[in-house]
Amino acid sequence: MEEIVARVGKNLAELRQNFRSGRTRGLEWRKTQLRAILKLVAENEDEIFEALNRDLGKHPAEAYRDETSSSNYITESSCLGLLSSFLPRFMAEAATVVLVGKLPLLLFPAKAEVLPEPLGVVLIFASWNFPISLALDPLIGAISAGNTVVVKPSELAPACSSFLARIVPLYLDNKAIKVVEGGSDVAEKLLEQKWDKIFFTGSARVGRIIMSAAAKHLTPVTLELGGKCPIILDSLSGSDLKVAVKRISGGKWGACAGQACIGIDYVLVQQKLAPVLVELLKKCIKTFYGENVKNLNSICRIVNKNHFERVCNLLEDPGVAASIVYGGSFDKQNLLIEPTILLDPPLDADIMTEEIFGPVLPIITLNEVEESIEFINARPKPLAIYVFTKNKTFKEKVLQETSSGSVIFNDTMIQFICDGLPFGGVGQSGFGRYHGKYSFDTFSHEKAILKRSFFLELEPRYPPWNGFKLEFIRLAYNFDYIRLLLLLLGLRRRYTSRIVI
Amino acid sequence: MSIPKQAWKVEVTLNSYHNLTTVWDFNNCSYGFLAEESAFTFSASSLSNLRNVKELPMVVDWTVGEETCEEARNNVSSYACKSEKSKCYERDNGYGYRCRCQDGYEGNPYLDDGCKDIDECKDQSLNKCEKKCENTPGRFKCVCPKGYHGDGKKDGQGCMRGQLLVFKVATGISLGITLIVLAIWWLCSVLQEKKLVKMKRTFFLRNGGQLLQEKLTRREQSPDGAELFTSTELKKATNDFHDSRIVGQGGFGTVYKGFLSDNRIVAIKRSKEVDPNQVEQFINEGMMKELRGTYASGKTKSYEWRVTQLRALLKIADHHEKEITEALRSDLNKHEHESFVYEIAMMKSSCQLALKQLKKWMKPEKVKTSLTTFPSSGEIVSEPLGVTLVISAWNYPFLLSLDPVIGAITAGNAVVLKPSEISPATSAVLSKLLGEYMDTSAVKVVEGAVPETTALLEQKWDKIFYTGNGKVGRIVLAAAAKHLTPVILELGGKSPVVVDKNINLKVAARRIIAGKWGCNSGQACVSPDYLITTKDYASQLVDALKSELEVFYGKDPLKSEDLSRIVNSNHFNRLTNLLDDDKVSGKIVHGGQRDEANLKIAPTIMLEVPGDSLVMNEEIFGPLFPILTVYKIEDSIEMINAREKPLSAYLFTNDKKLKEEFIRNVSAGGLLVNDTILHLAEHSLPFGGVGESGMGAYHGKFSFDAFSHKKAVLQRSFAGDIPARYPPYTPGKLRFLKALLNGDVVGLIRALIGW
Repeated sequence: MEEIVARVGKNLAELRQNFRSGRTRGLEWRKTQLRAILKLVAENEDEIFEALNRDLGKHPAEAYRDETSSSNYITESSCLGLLSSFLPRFMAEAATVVLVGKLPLLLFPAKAEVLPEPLGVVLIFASWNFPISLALDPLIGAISAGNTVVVKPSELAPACSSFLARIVPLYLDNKAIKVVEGGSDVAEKLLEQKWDKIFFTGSARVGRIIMSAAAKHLTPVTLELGGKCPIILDSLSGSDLKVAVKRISGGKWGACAGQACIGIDYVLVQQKLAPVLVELLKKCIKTFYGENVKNLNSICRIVNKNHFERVCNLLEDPGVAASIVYGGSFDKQNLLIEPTILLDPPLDADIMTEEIFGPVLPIITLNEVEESIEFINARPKPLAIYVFTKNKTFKEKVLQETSSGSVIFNDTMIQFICDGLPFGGVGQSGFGRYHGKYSFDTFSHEKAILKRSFFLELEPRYPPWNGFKLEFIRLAYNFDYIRLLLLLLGLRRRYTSRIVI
Repeated sequence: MSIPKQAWKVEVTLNSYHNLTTVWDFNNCSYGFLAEESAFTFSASSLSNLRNVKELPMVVDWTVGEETCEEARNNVSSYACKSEKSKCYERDNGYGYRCRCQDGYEGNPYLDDGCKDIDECKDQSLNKCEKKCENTPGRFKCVCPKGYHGDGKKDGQGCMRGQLLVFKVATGISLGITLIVLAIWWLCSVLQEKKLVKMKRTFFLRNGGQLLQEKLTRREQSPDGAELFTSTELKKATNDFHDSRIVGQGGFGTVYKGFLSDNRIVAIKRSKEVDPNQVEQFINEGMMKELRGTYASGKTKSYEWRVTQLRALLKIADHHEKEITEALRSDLNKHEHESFVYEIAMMKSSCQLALKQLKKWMKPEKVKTSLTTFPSSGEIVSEPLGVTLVISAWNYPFLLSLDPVIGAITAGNAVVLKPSEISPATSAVLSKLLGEYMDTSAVKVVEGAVPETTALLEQKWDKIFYTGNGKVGRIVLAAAAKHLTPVILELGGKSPVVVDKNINLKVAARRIIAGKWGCNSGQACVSPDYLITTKDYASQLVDALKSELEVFYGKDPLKSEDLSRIVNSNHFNRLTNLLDDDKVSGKIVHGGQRDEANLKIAPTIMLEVPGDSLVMNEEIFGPLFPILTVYKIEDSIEMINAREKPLSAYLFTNDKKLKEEFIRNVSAGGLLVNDTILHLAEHSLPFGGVGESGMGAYHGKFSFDAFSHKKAVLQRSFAGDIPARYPPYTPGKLRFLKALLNGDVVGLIRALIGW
């Protein structure tokens, strides 16, 4: 323990020193580091796949799509494609405005600009469900904004954690970017330090701990949490319904076996559509993942025994067990749980109050699809709401009346790779946002700069004050230049004790 | 023939003129006489019958004397009308006069007292009185008994039931007065009642009455849970809390036995004392539920609601400027000029900007989407966060309260404002005005100190906006962590001023003074805290500051009306401690005077204070101004960076290179070159700190963003599905995905055709 403290302390001092030196501020440094990340991913693809397979039983295609791809993709397009042209622009004085028009006369002449500057030394907590991309993605943001970084990968994905700890120093600037491995004890020690930003991906419970710890040092925090993300399935038919079911199956079981923060948690559907939906889902599961728990393919396992048992416990509730319409079997040895469908489990059961984070999909039936809005609003704000509908007014209604990190119409999960959109939660699903330019902003401070010259002084700014000065300022603030002129010419009655009515 | 008027003498002679030969019958008598003309009519028979007529009537008229009344009256002794109540009259048939008694008298007018009064009342025929007659000399009076009015005459009005007009008027007036008195009394009691009702209502609302009422109306529908009773019901049940119903008396209240309308017997406890903690809890919980209800109703989300609320805020500033400046005067002795410039005008321009731009801000922002998600469209929708809390500070109690509230409203949130208890007058004014002008179901003011703030922080908020110091900032942040509430902290810090050589020293000095002392005597988060200049320039600068200070505040600044006082004695003592610190003794080059009674400290300049002095180790927040010196002005950057990041940093220079270096290397919430404080008036600049000076920014569009959630919305159609997205995964699919995600079109085609 002592050793950890000392190491953390030493690391941090070094990082702070290097930040002070201005080493990380230059455009070239940032570009080099981003290119290095690209290279890291490209050259170690197989190793990444293997680590992911060991930690989560992820298939390479899934791993590619969700893990390397996202970091690769974001690195590719954000880091190089975007950053080579955008980064200088981001870094430059973002909003230079020459202030002449609608501005208090007091400020004339002046020039205002907003200059993004790095925050300093930042700490990134990655989570275990996408152990590579959720570590590299925020890292890209922190680097592009010019910070020095400590990344703490999740100890629940040990293979990926050790891979990162081993490989990152080989590719990236070791003086400014460090990986610290360890469990909750190390995390605790890290949190005792003063950081300039903490970026956390994980559960709301740990999120609270992180935020309380950050309060001590007034450290700003970005929390990427999860929540029960619902699907609203409007009455679709024919091929539309088939596409929807495919996308639901892909989103639910295809993304780390439901162990994703934006993963689908439950489905809201009209009563009459439920039987059709269940049948289509069953068919889809069979073609996608195979029939028996022993022959399952292309699906992740549960990350560890604790989580495996947690999910199994959710299913053990008698009310929940009775609602199973498909699956429900598991392979304890390989920590595999069969894709499982529940029809109308009791709403007060744990499975409907906790984030499931596993391959179990409850279907909740409603009389009318509009009731889904009330259903969602009665629960904490989710990270995402997925809506399958062709009804324009319903779309608008969902947008206006619900609150969530994001809303996706007619698809699942893909918002994660759309870097034009901010990715982040609201309420219980966290706060702060990243991806693309938003990552850069998250790790930057927008410094306001106003430049004035020495000429043109307005006497009424200064004491001793009198009625003339007050009236002058009043008119100047109201942009009432005609009266102002009259006042200056002495043609306007001075302020006595006029009350504006 | 008749006797003519005024004849004196009548002689009758009888003669015969003819022979009597032709006489048919003869009577040997001749007749001559005087008689009443109408009593005798001559006819043929009269000749024979006349002998039998013994008498014929004759009236003899008479008068007294020959004089007229007028002439007779002159001779009193011979005047015949002796009686006092007599009167003289003349006849028309000759000379002289006669007397008669006056009307209403009878008797002999020729005797003394001969004319006697007639009692008309005795003879019914003489009086025409309906009810009662009253005799008076010469006449009579008809009288109506009590309860009647009129002239009492049978041929007149008679006696009518009712009162006389005079009586009526008198009664009317007295009745009127009584009525007025009654009315006033009634009005008073009504007003009292109204006040009571209003007070009850306030307390009712404050104690979560709205919620209770809703529950009451829904009582029938929800038989489960606790039952609610109105106070009337309870009064009825306990016979108006009658003593006979008392069952017991405890430390906290009296217990009554009560009978409900359905004959259930209950014990009713009437609280004696109210535990303030419990009240707070109740207030907060009730208030929170109301706010949540309002927010859930979607009312605050509409554009119209936001606009009306912003307009109401503008109205507050316009209509109550005087009230506000007076409150600021009493809290901080702030000059109305300063109040207007830094509080009211800034708040108004915030409001006006928001009103003008709100439509634009609320519009969803379109974003580009990628090939992978093709075909799709993306947009970012700004949605309100929910129920927000604004905790403001005492130094600019009006602006710092309402500016964040404007942000919360423009973004469509419900908001609770907790003004600082250290500026109580402004806090009260805010509470009053916001209560009057704003939609109180969504915008509330909670006044109070630490216990209230603590109680507020225990609630779950969707955003907390705090302006104040780092110590409380940490508490706020830690409290927010419990509910994962995002927080904006607007803190302060030691904002430095760096002054280079070769500048317009007079202008620089004035701008520094305006920022340091002209803004609430240095009690502002953006006030310059200390100054760094080169060793050789320091004395010139101090001289310039001194002379401009005298221009601004006169020879005795403690007497200046234009200088704010220190907010309270705690802060006054804190500042005098900084002044009395041994390490700064002898360093004071200007000012140092203090007036404890009025909590005033003169603008004070300290030169070359040591780094370990108290004044250099905390935010000064007062009119003390330490000046530090360096050999090279560039060294100031390192000096600033060695400290915590300040909220602002100011640089006065004409050197372009220094400007560039300063801007690049000094980390602060905001930087201002060649002026002080003004960057906060510019809405296109975000205002907020970094590091120890806070987190999050506001002003203008940034306020809107600070209180909004940026919801990502992605739209897809059902077409354009790539099989490679779905399991079972194959190497071909992997190759395809790689190509797709890399945007490698050639690779994509190769994967598709199976190479």
